Amino acid sequence: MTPRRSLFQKYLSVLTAMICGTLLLATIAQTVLSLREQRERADALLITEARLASVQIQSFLSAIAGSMAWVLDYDQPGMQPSLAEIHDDSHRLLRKVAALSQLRYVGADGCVRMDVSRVATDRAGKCAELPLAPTEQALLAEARQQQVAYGPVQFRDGTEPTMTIAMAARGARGGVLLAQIDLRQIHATVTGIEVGRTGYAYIVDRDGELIAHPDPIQVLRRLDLRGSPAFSAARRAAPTQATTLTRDLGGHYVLSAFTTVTGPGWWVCAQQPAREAFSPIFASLWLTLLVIVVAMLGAIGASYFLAQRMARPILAVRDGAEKMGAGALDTRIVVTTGDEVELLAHEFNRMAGALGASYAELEEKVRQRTHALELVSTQLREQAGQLAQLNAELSVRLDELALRRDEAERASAAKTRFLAAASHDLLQPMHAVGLLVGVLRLRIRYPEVSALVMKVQTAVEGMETLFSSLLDISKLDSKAVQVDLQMVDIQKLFDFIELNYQPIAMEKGLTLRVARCRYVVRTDPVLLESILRNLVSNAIRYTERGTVLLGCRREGDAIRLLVHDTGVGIPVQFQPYIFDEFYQIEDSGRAHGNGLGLGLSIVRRSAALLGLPLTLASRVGAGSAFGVTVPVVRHVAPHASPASIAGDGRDYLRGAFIVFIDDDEDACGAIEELLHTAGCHVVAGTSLGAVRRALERHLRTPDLIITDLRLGPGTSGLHAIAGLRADSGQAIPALIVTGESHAPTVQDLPGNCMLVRKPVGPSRLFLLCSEMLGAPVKAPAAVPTLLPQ
Amino acid sequence: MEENDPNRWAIRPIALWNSFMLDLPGNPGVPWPMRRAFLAVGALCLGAPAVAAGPLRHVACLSSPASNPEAMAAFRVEFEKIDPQLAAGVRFSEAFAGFDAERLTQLASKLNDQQPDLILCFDFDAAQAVAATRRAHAVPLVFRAHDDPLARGLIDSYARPGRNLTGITTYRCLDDKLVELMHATVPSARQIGFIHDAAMPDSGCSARARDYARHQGIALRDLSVSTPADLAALLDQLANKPAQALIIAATAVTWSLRKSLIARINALAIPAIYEGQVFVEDGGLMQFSALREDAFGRLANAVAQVLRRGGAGDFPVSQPMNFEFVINMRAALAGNYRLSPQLLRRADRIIE
Repeated sequence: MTPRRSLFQKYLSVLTAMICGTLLLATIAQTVLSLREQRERADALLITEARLASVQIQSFLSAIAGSMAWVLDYDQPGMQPSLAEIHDDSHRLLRKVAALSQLRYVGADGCVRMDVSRVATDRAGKCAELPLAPTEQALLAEARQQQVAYGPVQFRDGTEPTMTIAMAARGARGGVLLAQIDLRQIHATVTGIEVGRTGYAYIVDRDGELIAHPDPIQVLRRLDLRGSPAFSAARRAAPTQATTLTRDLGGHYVLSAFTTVTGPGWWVCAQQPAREAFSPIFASLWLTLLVIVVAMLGAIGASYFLAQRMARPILAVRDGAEKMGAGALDTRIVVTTGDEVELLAHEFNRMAGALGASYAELEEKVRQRTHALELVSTQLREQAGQLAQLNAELSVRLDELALRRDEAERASAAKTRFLAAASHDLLQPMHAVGLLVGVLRLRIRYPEVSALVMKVQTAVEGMETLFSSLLDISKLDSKAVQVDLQMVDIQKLFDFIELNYQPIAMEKGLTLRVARCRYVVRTDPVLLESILRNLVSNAIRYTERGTVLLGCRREGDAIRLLVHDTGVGIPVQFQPYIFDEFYQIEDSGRAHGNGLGLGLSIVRRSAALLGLPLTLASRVGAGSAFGVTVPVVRHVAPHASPASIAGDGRDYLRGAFIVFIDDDEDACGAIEELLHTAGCHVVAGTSLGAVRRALERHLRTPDLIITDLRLGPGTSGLHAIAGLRADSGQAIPALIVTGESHAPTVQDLPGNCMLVRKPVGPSRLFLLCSEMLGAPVKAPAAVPTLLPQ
Repeated sequence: MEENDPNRWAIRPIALWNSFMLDLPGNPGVPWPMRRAFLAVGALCLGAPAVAAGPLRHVACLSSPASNPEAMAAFRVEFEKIDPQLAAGVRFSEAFAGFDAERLTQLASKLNDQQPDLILCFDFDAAQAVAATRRAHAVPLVFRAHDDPLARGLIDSYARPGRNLTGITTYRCLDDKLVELMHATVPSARQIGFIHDAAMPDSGCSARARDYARHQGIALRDLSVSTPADLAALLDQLANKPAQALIIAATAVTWSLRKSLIARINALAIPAIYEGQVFVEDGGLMQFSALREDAFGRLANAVAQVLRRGGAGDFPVSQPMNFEFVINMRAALAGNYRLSPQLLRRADRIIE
């Protein structure tokens, strides 16, 4: 397994993060504090520079004012001012103060008495000859109140800034000296102010106008700085208390400190480019960064060293364990750290030693077992050889079995073909014989001959029943019957049973009562019908008097179809055997000659094929009750029971036009004869074509079609029915009589068509025909919906 | 990344760090590249800002008189005081016309063709020649004029000269003040000669002087000289008919022939006041004029401003700020004049 990260990387990462993180935090904290201190220092330095500049400006103005006061010493209260002295001292003042460009002495009367100029000529004269400007008048008034007044800054020739200072002499009646100052001298002072290396100072007058700046162009622009952020901040805050970081006239970030110049109310700003002001801070930051980098590199190196020292013994243990895991159990891990890792290595070594010993022991055991296995293997090889021989023999036997199976399948197929053929070929002549005997019986008038014919008919019917039973049992035995699960309406099945066996019961003087059973089950209808027919047939056979009751009982999700009779009953000791083939109870009270004993065997086989359980409850002298349980699908609405036709139906058949088709000429002849006795007009043929040729001579459409199912190779009774119906354009009622084991179901039949199985006796045939032709019916007897317990 | 890129200090360490991260060991058996770490630290420490050493800027100097190394040296001293770094990046070339007008024009044209970074003219005539031979206002011009550049039509105004030129002037209308000083010196003098060049426009300065003189009851004789011959003739005329006092304005003729002029005036024992420091240095009795010491400072300031930001035409022309009244007691016949104490007190400097 490959680890996602090696131990060395983990240790390295953790140690590096710890040390570097701590270094970083400490450095950041220290840097922040240092930066704050340095900023305060820079601010203090700048404020000091501003104050220094202010002091210089103040000194400049104070010197001028002080000098002016000396001149006014010649104007004392109570004394007439000496203009000559004032004139002389004014010149000396001009010589002394280079910034002064003009001095004017205004007397107590407000007239200019003297005008001394540096470059212009001196003037003296009458009052009106030397007028005062309005600003000078205002200054005079202010000076007389405050002794010193400072005028606004003006620009001579648009380039030379000047300002007038007015100083009043002592005494209420003294004169005033007006001094015009060339502020370009202040420019030199301002330019000479060094604020750092690239910083400078400038002066703004009380109206916010720039009056002195190292760049004279800025001054000449007459810039109004009242709106500048720095000046606005300075005016809001107390001067010389804080610096502001703003942009200068050139848009560069600068650190500014403002102070005021008392007197003229100017603002002196010391400004230093932020980059220079903060250069110590930047230098400190760079140095700190360098230190951090060096420290971190050292930390990384130390972490690397420590991580190696920590990881090496663990990795040695890992390598040793890996080698041991690979099989080198003589490997020994050498760790001398003196801690738990060394103990771990010692344990690994001990484990390796134990594993080595165990491995050696195991190897010896393996060697022994291997030798034993070799012996066993030799035996197995011998046995394998024997098995191979047996396999060869088995293959031969299997081949023989396969041949036998093929033969059996061929035999079964042959049997199936035989049964299919017998179903038709055996029953067909029996059916024909039965019909002919029926015809004979109807035509014979002599009682004794009639009794004889009756016996023949009875024998024929018995033979038909025996053949049918033998065929059924054969089919079941040969597994020729294919279960075809369908939805089966029990009530319809009951109706069919009643229709077929009611006459038989009536002949024997018994009452066949069929209960209503409104359920639909899913089973093979043919097999279920076979079961019920055999049970009802057996019940009728073994009941001398009383009732045979067919009904159903709901039992949970299933219904039990019951056939209850009031017959002789079955002794308990014989009940397990009565479902065997050919088994009949030998009892003097039972009638002999009642079949071969195959009916219940057929019932058992059919029920087993459908997976339906059978039940039997019988008591000697009281009767029997046979039941078969079928899972129910749904309950259906009640429908009327099929009506029964009054009589045997022959009367209704009089005059009917019936078409009969059967590939057996004898059957054709027999049916034709039989139906003639009922007064029917019959057209019979062995094929559809023959019948069609015969019908060409008839204009009347047949009333009924009776046909065999199998009419020959490739043709069937269904084709014949469809053909005749198409020829006539009517849905002629049809009756199919068949002995086939795989007959179509009711759902497969066309409309208005019934299918019955051979054999069909004459009376039954008459009834069926009458029913198909719509004979009037009598109301069915009321039957209970549930069987008595 | 340029040398002057301020981000180079950020980019370089980041690049070095990236080279570290790519080499982190995935296998503890791979040795940590300590050499690279040390090399990186060394690179950081040794990384020094590169000085933006651009090409030298060329300032071409032109003077109409002959070579005057003192003036150039004085200018360069002031220039280096103002901006040493800028001064280190400037080379100067000089051309002198020797008072030859034709040569002056040729030199001016040649300088314009050379397209230097700036043309510096040490006198008005040179500035006028350069301005006249310009084909376009591409090369800024800075001048030193002893005349009124506004009256002479060189500039549009003192505040905004325009025409991509600026400079300083040492000129101020002092004619009336000179009359006042001379009157204070020789109160009895009722006739004062005024030597100047009437051909030069002076914006009414001499007229103002005449008005003042008249107001003081003094007749101001207009003695105009435009050429050396005119001066010689005047001096001969003064020899025959001397004035009670003289005022000598600084013109090209009086300045260039000052020594002989001063000698003749002293010889004639005529009290004279001159306009210019050089006159008293060469023996004149008195002078009142703008100080020339700060002229080179103002000129150097103008040159520095133009080199830094350009826009010479927006830079105001500097007018003289300081003036000096000097009395030369060592002048010949200085002792002949009884100078009043008031006058002496007015002197900024007395040469003894």
